Amino acid sequence: MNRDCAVSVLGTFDLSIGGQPRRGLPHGSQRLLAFLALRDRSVTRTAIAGTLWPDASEEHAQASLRSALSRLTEVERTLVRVSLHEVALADYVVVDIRDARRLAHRLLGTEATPHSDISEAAIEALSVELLPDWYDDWAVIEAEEWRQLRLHALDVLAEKLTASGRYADATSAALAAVRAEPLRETAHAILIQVFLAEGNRAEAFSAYERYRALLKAELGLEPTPRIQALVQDIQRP
Amino acid sequence: MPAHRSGLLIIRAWLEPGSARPLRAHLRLSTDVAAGFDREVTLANVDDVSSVVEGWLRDILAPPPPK
Repeated sequence: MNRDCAVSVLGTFDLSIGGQPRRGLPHGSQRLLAFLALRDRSVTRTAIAGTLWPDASEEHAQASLRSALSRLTEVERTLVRVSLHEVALADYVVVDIRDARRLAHRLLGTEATPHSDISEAAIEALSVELLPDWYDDWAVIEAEEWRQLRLHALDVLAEKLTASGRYADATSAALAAVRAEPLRETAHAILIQVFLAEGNRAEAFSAYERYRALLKAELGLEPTPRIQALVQDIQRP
Repeated sequence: MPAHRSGLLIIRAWLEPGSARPLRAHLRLSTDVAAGFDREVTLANVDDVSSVVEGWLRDILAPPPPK
């Protein structure tokens, strides 16, 4: 049994077995594997069927689930553990969102963050949306939850990188948070603080002015006193 | 709207403390989720958000344009 298997739900859906991508997976089977990837434990057949086929009767939904399982090839079927009542991904399947979530929680936790977590790879992992072109209710909810988690984690990562003097990476992390939600002030404040920590007052003021202009254009509002205070001592260059 | 189509509207809301209008609501709208989202908008006023939601519902109820 090949153990080099992975399901990816960050960005587009991908399945690889033996390190090789699997193409042509039926849509129903993709949805099933993606759904299981987002769960850390077995899920009852009833819950899977009801979630993935919410508009169908229970009988039809269960039939759709059986169909999705049966349309997996023999090799693909080894990725799932199927019992009479429950289905789960096999324990050895690597799932990117699970690793990314654990990373985010380590960054946001109270214990010291492992040095390896304060990295470019972490920025990359936290910069990707979950299944951005999927509109199933369950996928959208998971995507929103991941968005919130990764935004907060990016904020903390930018602050930790700044504290380490890694200003270029801190800028990347802060910009990733800004891109994800351009009207969220916290991300802009952190970006400004990166530039100030670096001693780059001109860039700090420019970043403030860009946020100010955006806020004005989109909502007709001025930035809060909190972020204004960050640049109040900087003269316009 | 054909019965087999589904509309989808997601509102993500948060607060910006200290702002003159602290509400932020980011809306993504679709009158046919199979085609993806039609548009996105961020608003800072409850009435504006309500207006967009109402408009979206009316779009769902409206008959499709003639071909």
